[in-house]
Amino acid sequence: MDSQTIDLKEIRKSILKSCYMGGGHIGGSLSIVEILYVLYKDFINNDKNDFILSKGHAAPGLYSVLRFFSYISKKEYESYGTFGTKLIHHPSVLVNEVRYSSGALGNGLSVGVGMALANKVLKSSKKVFVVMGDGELNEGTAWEGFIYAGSKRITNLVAIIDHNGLQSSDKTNRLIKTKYLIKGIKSLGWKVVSINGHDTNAIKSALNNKYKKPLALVLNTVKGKGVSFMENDVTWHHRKPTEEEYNLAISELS
Amino acid sequence: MKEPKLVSVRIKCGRVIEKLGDKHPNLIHITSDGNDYTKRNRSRHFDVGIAEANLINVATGFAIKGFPVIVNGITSFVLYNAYLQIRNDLCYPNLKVIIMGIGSGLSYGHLGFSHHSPEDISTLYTIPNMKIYLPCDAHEAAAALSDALKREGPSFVRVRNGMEPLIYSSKKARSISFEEPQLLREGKDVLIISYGTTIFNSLQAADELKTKGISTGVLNINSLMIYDPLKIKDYITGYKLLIIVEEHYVDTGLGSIITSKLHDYLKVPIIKMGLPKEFVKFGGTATELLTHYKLDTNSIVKNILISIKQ
Repeated sequence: MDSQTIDLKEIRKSILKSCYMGGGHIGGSLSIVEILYVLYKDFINNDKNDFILSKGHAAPGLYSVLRFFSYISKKEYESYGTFGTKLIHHPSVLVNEVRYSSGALGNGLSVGVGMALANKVLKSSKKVFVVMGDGELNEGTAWEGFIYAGSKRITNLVAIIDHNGLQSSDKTNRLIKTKYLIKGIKSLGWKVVSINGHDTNAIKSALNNKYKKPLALVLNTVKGKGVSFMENDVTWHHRKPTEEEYNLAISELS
Repeated sequence: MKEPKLVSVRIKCGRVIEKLGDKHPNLIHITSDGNDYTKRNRSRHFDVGIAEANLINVATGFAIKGFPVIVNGITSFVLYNAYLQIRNDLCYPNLKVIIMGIGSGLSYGHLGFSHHSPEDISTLYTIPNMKIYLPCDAHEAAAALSDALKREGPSFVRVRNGMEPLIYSSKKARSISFEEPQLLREGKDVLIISYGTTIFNSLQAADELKTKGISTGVLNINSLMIYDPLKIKDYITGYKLLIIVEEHYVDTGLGSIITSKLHDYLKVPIIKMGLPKEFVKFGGTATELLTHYKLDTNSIVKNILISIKQ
């Protein structure tokens, strides 16, 4: 097993432990492990670029990656789920590394627009990476961000969509057809690239390419990725594993 | 009171934002399909189109990066469309974004209820960290924008639409601290407490009441959430009657906020004049509507004459 595979399993085990002890949105945290790992390892590391987790409910995923790369201490990480913790179930600016307190879906992208424009005013070459959910594309405010950035060619903004096909109540496609939404993003002036969201090489490659239009990177992912009985199961959107489920999950990841 | 000069608050504020942009080289100005009347510092001006949530979110992005921001928009749309963004993006992290809300109160008249904001103060007062400025004229509005830029956290400056009579000279306005009420007229018998457009009506009413032997003071409360409202108790002593006049729902406006805070210090009758909690279901100019809702000078005078007899 290569070191990267080991890293990713470690992060997934951390997520499971956090959610077992403190609850949280487990499925949608597991689906974005690869993108967060690649982003924090190669693109954000120590403020090289800006990051917003617009699908804020995947906070357990973010915290596990931040802990893995030592952005937060072991003590702080282990406070998740306890009274008085700064690590609440949606990332808050109470945590140093977090720039934007998400939680209400649909807003992170246009906050990213503001940061990207600010970078231009600062004459900085920093990019802004915004990780969104596919259910989040239901929100009208998300489209205000797509509309404006596409129209103004804000190419230092990167929208990354965790296309895991599920939201809280149902498959995303059953509620609103995702293919129309993805087509919509393209028609608003974005370059849409669709890849396997668990392939770190494909992610790196897509993010390193240069595009004339702002990039919307659609990650085809599996909600609950890494734990067989959680994968593609809508009931694992926000659910605390039992002791038995937790042990089973850990053994699969070891 | 001699015939006052009429000044467009909106245009004056546009000029002020230009000057502030010169003075603060990192100030960002964002509009929402706006005629913002600013011509300089265009590299720090952005227009997001008719998209209020985007307006606040983009401002947030700049503020996260350390830029102070002034945004312009129509009050009812910025506050009610983007309430969530104001609450979560600006107020929770206490970011310096100043919302200049145009067309506040009933100032959009014939445009109808969708463009009215008779509940803007109460809406914003429910959110922690949001400062509220209530200027009565162009000079006070200019001072408010300047003042808001000096303070941490978000602010709202309640501006109407159209021409407003000048109450303050530009020199006097520059000395407003917004940290205490401003006594605009001294009086012994009655105190009218007001803000915004009804300050002018209150001053005219005070003039007329003087001719009837009633000495009437006028107190301008031009801000909320900057100082403890308990401070106002020192300004309301010694009168026989207190009367609050505002272009806002009377049940939820500044009057109701301060009377509940000053409850223990109210020794004399206090009358609250404002808008009834109802949608305006017909057309009318701003002035006609204020008269209809008895917030014009004559109505204030009449109300005081009736009340002081009791």
